[in-house]
Amino acid sequence: MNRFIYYLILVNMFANIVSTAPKVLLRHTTDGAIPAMVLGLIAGLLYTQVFIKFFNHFPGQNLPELLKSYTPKWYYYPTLSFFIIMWYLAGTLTLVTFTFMLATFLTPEMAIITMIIPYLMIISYGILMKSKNLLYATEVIFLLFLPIPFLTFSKAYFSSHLNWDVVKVAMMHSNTLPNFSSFTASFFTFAGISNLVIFNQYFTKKMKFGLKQVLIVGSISFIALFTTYFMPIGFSGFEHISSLLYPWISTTDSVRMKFGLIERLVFIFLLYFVVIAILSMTIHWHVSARLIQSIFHSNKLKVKNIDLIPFIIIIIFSSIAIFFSLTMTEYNLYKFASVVYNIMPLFFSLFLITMWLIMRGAKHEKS
Amino acid sequence: MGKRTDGEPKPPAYMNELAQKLDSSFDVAQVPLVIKGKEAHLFYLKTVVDSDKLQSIIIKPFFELATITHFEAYLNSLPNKTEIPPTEELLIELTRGFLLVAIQNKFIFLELRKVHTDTVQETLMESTIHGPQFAFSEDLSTNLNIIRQNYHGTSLAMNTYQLNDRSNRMVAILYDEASVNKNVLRIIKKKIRALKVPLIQSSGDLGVFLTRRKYTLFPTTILSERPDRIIYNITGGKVIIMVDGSPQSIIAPVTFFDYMVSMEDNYHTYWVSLFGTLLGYFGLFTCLLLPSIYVVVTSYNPEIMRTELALTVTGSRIGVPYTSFIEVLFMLVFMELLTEASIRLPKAVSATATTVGGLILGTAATEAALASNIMIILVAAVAISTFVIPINELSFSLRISRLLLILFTSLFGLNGLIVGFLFLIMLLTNKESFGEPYFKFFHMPKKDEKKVTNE
Amino acid sequence: MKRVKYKKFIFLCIFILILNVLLAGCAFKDIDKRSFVVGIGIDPAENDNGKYKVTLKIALPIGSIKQATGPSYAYLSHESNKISEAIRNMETRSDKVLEFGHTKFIAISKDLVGKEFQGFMDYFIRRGDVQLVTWVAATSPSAEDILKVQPKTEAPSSIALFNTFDGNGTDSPYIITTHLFELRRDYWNNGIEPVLPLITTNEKQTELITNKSLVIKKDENPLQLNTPETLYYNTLVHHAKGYSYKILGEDLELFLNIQKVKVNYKIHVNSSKAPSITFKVKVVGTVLESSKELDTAKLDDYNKIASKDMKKVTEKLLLKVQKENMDPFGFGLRYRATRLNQKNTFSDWEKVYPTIKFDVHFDVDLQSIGAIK
Repeated sequence: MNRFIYYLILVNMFANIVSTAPKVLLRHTTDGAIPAMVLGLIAGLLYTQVFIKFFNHFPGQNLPELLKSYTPKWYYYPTLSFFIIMWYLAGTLTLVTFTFMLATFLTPEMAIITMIIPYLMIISYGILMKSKNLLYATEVIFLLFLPIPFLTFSKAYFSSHLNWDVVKVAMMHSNTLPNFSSFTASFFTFAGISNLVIFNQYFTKKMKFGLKQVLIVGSISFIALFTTYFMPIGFSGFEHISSLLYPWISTTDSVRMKFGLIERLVFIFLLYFVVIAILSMTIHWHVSARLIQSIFHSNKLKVKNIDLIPFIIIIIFSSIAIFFSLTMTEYNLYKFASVVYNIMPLFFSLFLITMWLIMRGAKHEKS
Repeated sequence: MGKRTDGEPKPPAYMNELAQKLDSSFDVAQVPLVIKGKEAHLFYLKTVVDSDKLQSIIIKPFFELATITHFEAYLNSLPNKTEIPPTEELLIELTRGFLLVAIQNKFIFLELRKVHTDTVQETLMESTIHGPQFAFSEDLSTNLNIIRQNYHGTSLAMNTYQLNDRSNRMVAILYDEASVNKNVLRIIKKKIRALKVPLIQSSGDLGVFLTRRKYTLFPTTILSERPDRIIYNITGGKVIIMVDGSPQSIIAPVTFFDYMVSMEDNYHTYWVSLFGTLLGYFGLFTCLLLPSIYVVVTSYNPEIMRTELALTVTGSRIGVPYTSFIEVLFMLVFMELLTEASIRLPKAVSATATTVGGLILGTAATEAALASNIMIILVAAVAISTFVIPINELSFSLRISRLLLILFTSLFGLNGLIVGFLFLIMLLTNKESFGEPYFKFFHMPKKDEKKVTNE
Repeated sequence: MKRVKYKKFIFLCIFILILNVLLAGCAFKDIDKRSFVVGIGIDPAENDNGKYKVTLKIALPIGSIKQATGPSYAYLSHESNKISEAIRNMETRSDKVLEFGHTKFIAISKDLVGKEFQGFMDYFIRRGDVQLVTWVAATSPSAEDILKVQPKTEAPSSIALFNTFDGNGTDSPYIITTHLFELRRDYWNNGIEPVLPLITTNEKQTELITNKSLVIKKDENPLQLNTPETLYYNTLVHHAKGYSYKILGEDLELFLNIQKVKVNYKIHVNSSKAPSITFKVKVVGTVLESSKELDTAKLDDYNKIASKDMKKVTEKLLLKVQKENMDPFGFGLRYRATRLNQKNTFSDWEKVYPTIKFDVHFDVDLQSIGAIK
């Protein structure tokens, strides 16, 4: 499998396990988070498998192209618009969530608008970048900052203040029925593969997703999910854990590096969190923008050979995001996140239908 | 121009025509050689022809050899004889130091250049402890000679072009036929032919003109004065462009990581060179990030530091009237001025400038509480680490990126620093050097790479 | 012409950006305009102004460390019903912003521990800028007195209270360190009770003495552990090691230096026998001082004497906390951690614990008697 696909999966996974996923999971410690996580893991791997199998039939083509050539117009436009909205919302959700979080922990005095402007600047640049170069950038940034999660995780696991008995108590609560929102939250960590809808156009070689690849992705996501759920419990306790709004920030703040250059691990972790969130948002918005561009392209909106559409997209995207971040409260945000999570199954089933339609269309064309 | 009297032999008409075209030059020489039925005419420019060589190679044999046919045969056998080009080019060649000989209405064209720039210089910009100590000269043929002498592979290709500008300089393109990236070679040749600029004086400005974009911060070619680096890059499949009159040659295409390679690394054992490389990267990050980190920790998030350090920093800032970023900018600008000054000044004076600027200014600034002690340490660290970067074209770009990062940081705090840093990475990855990705991990073997990223 | 225009445009952009810098964001505040609060003390109010008296210990920066003789601090106190209210009031009395990012020490008067604990804990965690690795300690006499103690060994730009707890300075097995997050975790978790170190001072208030501790239970009065009990608790739970284990034999007194402690315990509830906890401890150490001349050949005997005495002290400690129905060792947590959760898992344990039997085994392995006989 191409290494860039791992990056797409992992960036999304890491962005999720530090922000919204633990929040949702830790709300259901006693009523079914653990079985939901197991189910989410299996379903996520299956989904990845299906996705890659599908795009293996069409190497070097992206979804809009496929939709255009194999599905009728009445299906093509609404589906694509739905996808555009979903991708945009996924990016915006991350943006607003982590702006709020940084406002609490990093710069409580700073105005939200001052915090959000630099992010919008860099994401806008990401939209203007060539998709291929964005993949390169993802690789560089992901690998450059990879030591940080390793450091964080190992520091957390080897901390003498981590109480394993509490972790075991949490494990003993696995004899429950799975909980739906926990399931969607853990399933959502696998959504990164969906970005293939655009990036597949650069993967002209057939991708293999055999046992080895399943094991790699599976074990990484297992470790990630395990850590994201049990580490906060080990540090912040089993009872009353759900009252912590940012479990992972609290967890990393509970680790002190006695001899480190920086004493508080939480700052190193926040740094990583900002970086990975920016990457994830950039990819989401980039995909959304490319999908829009596949619908609208006109020669009228060009000045001196520069296409104006991406700039218009940037302006619209940014203004909506600014509006959201200025008007939302913490509670609204949680509601908003749950709505997005709960649409996810609809989104995935729509994907399956689309894939089926395209496969059928392609077969007809051949015969 | 020689005066003509009746007894003297007449020069050929072609020579007269040429003399008219070069009318504005005072140094045109048209010399007739006549003795006992032998007759020859020389045409050249006095200032560019080597008169010793002229005397020993042309004039002496003329009087010694028995007949004019002997002399003609002798001239035809000389190694520096070339075909006669069309008149326009011939004129340019004459200005380069060629000699036109006319014998019985036959013309022979010989190269007798007098070059004062073919001495090989010591390395200045990229000095190393081990490895060759001499760089190139400012003469193209000498430089090509150096390359040939160091690289005896038969697949080494050298193409020369004449630039279309006023200077009509010779430009040579060198590459290894076997390993060169054909696509890059095609682009470079096309670009050199299509160049439309009034004047090119050195490889520096040629390199700038070859990159398409006007507003660009990071260079997409390397200028190198080291023969070993050139050979190393030829072996690696890159294309080298050399310009007559310039001791530096252009390497293309390049990736960002090429700027971080010091030739020294090749001459040491594994761990030593690894250490050197790591130091280089450490220097890169320090000189880029340290000033901005100072702004972040002093003005936005002092809780990042250890408590003891925070107290020390606070203590050293007691009495400093300006906010941190003005302090940083102030000291950095003075550091930049110092660096510029030591480049511009004659070598004898530049040491004094550094001492005065670095030592006295620094101490006085802290004494007067215009800057904190920690700030001085920081600026010194930044200055030193800027010089660690092996290719200084990159360090010039980094000096500006550093200011941009400070700007971002002063506006947005830690967010700004992270965003600015990521922005630099994205800017670099979105760049191309002659059609090749500029900043990218894992430059895989070409075969596999093409499959991954067909455009 | 075009070129000139572009240049002008770029200049304009740069100018605007520089202007922006000069008007930098509102969060921009230089380090010398901030006061670092290094410790917070909470006492019951002395007057009727409110419930609490909050004291802040602020570290003052020193211009030249080499010339300074000791650290200098400023203290602010205020009485109020709420901690946030008190802190807000003190902010108005300071010329600089109070910065809580370096607060690493919260002292709570012994009289307040256990009662309205939850209130402060939630406040400090909610603030976000107070570190969760902040050390929490109970104090006697008042927290204010403890914060104001300036030990003679304190060097400039290093804070004695931090050195005591961070394991970088002193390394005594009597010092229990409890971080804010641990306190919260153990406070809420069923089956374990948090333990706070109890800091006292000498009469002249020039020393910090940290060798006692308090076990805290929700809505109950804390249980004080005296010095040897604190030592044993720290050894058994946090595997503390060090120089100070005094062993009393029949006619022999030994002082041990313990290098390694391994604790293993199992809870037996379901078997037909009465519920019990088997508590196995393995200790590796050396003899440091003794009342009699020692003999290397008799190391085994010393081992036995030490095991017996350590077992006795441990049993006493276990029974003491059991009697008060407190569980600083986390037996209840272990119980919950070893069986699948049912509705009444914890209530079952609560019934069993007061009567459970302790079966303590000590295995002391002394490796040398030091450099002399």
